[in-house]
Amino acid sequence: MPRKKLKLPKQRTFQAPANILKRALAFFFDLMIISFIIYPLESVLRNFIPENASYSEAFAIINNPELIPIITTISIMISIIAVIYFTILEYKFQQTLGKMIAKIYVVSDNKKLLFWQCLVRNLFLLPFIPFILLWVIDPIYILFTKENKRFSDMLAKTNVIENYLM
Amino acid sequence: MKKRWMFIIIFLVILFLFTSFIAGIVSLFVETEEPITGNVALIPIQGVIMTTGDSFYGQDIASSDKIVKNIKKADESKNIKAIILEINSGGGTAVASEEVVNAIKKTNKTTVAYIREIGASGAYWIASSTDHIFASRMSITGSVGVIGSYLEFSGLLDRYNITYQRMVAGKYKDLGSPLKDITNEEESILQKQLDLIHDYFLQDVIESRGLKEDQIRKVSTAQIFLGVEAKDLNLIDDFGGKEEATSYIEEKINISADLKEFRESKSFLDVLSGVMNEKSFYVGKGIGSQLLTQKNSEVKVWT
Repeated sequence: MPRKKLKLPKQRTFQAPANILKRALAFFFDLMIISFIIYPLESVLRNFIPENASYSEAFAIINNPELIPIITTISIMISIIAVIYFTILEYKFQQTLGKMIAKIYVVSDNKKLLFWQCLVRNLFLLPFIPFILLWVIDPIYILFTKENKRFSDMLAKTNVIENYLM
Repeated sequence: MKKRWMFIIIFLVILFLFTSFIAGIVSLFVETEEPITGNVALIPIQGVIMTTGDSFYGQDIASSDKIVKNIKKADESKNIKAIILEINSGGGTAVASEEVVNAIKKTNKTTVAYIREIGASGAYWIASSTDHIFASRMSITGSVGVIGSYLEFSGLLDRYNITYQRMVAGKYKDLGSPLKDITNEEESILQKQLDLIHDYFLQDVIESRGLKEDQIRKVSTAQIFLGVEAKDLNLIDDFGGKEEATSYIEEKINISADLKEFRESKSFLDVLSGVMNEKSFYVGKGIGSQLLTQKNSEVKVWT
C-alpha cells in the first residue's frame, strides 16, 4: 500500500542565546580535538618534564632559562593552531565540531558572519598580554550579560545561539 | 552535507600535518632528554675518551663533556641514589679523563664502576675514582701511564727529496713536528712533560686505591693487567659485572635498584651530522689509501 504523506504543521523554532552549559560542553569537546591535533608538539614538550616529577620540579624545569624560548615557541604554536581551528570552522560553518554536537551556532550581530569577527572572538586563546586577560574577563562577562555574551563576543559583535522549539 | 564533512576531515588532517611539521622543526633545535625514572644511574663510558665529539675516524667517542653532564644530572636528581659507570674503553686524552675523574669525586652519591672488556689507562683512572670497582677475570685494566708517541716522516720526506722548510718564531714552536728529526733537547722536554702527567695520574690512582709500595712499583710501569692480576694488585675490588655492581649498591645503601641508563640522547641534527661524519670518514679513508697523507704536527698526550 503506498504511503500517504501526512500534512503536518511545520515545526516552528526561534533562536536565542545558547545555554552556558552547552557552550562549555562544546568548548570542552573542541579542546579534546585540539589536544589530538597538537599531539606532536605536546610530545616535544613532554620530553622536558620527567613523568614522576613533582609540581615544584616541573615548575623549575619550565623556568629553566635554556628551555624558556623553546617552551614559549611551542606554547604560541599550540595556541595559534587552536585559533586557526576555531576561526576557520566558525567562519565556514558557523560551528566547530563541539558546537555541532551541542547544536549551537555563532552568529553575527549584523548580517553575515565575517572572517575578522571569527578571528577576534577567538583571540583569547593566545597566551600573552593582552589576550591572556580575557581568560578572566570572558567568563565573568558571560555571567553578567543577558545574551550570555563573552567579552570577546562583544568586541567581535557576535553571539552564540541555539534553536529552540516553540 | 558530505562536502561539509569532507572539508572538516581534510582541514583537521592538514592541521595535524602542520603541527607534526612544526614539531619536527622544533625538535631539530632541541636535545630531547629522557625523563629520570629509576633510582640508580647507569652511565656508559665507551670508546676513546675525549673532551668533545661523537665519532673519531669511525671510532666511538666517550665525550667527557657529555659524561660529566650526565654525572651532574644524576647527582642533582633526587630520585637517583647511586651511580654505576659501565666502562669499556682503552683510555683517551689526559684532560678529558681528568674532567670525568673530578666530576666523580665531586658527587656525594655512591659510585661503582664495572669494567667490561677493557678499562685501561684514562678509563682505569676514571674507574679508580669510584667507591668500588668490578671487573671480569679477563678484563684488561691498568696501563697507568702516558703516551705521546707519534710517527716521524722526516726519513720518508728525504727519500722523496722533499725538504721541510723550517720557519718558526720561537725555538720550540715546531716541537714534536713529524716532519723533522727530534733533537735530544726537545725529546727531554717532551719526556719531562709526560713524566709530570704520569706522576699526577699515578699519584691519583695510588691515593684512590690505597696502593702499597710493591703494588705501586708494578702499577707504575704502565703495564696492562688482566682482571685476575688486577685484583691481587688491588686495582679492582671484586670480580663481576652489571649484576654484581647492582647488588653491591643494593646492599650498601639498602635500596631496591632500578637502573636508568643515562645515555646522551641525540637530536635529529646530531644523528645527521654523525652519519655524515661517518660517511665522510670512509670516503676519506678510500681516497687516503691512494695518497700519502701528512699527519698533523701537534703532539697529543694520551692516557
